[in-house]
Amino acid sequence: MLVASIAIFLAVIFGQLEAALAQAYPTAQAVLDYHTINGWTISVILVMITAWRSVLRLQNPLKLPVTYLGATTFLLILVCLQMYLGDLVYWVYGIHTAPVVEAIKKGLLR
Amino acid sequence: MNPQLIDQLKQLGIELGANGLPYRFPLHPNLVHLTLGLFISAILFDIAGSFFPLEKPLLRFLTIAVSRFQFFDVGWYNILAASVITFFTVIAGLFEMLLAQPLTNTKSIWGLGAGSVMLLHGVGGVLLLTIIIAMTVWRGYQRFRWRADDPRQVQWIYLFVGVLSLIYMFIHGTLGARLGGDFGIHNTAAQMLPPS
Repeated sequence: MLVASIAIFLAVIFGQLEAALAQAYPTAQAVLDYHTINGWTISVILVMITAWRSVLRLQNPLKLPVTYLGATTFLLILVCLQMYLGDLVYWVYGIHTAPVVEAIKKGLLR
Repeated sequence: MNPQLIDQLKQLGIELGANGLPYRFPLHPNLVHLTLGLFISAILFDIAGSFFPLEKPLLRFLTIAVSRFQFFDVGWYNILAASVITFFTVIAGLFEMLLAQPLTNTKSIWGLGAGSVMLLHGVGGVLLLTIIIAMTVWRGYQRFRWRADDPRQVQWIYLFVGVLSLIYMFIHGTLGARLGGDFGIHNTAAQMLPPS
């Protein structure tokens, strides 16, 4: 969780940079927006859960409450949703793939 | 890609979408990130465990309560999980490579055509799986036999080979990224563009 909390900020920063550079056409832009909002949400929840986990670890490293597992399961669902949205942005709408970028430049895709 | 394959799949009742797959987006690029994350973490945590005496003041400063063997636990379980998941990564990769329809009017950054990149990435992927499995077996011997009572559970040569594997993985991943990014393989929008 500690490593993930650090890593997610790199992911979000690069995501923001690349989203800003993306010339997304309207349908793609809608999904990209969902991906952005969900990404920031995950980063906030992840950091909160990591802080909670560190307190639990200091109290008793061998015991985790069920509420904690519930919270991480919820986070896991959000991460799966984020993967799905990211896959749509890249693999379905082709944002930042060379052929689609070329097509947008030529005005073939709007 | 073999055009006969599409007909054979149709006979089996499997219809391919605009992206050339019977499902919405390729699975291999998703599974790859599990392989990457687990393998990189495995090596980095073993490095962290090996240099533990140097990190002690920092860990104490950050009030992170941790023992040395816990780093090696993470190293071991991560590489074990990497070797399990990578079979699925390779299976998905081979299936999706068989159905690939690369754009032919482009070259990758290293001046290679789609066929060469696919061949290198396909053969290289199986090689990488072999490396991961071999390193897991090697890691297991160090953990349970050779160095079971040693405070530093891994050999320096293991870490060195691990870092070399990470470099190879980076090159291999770059080749794979070209397949989707430059040649538009299994990319719905790229496959639907009119031929230029």
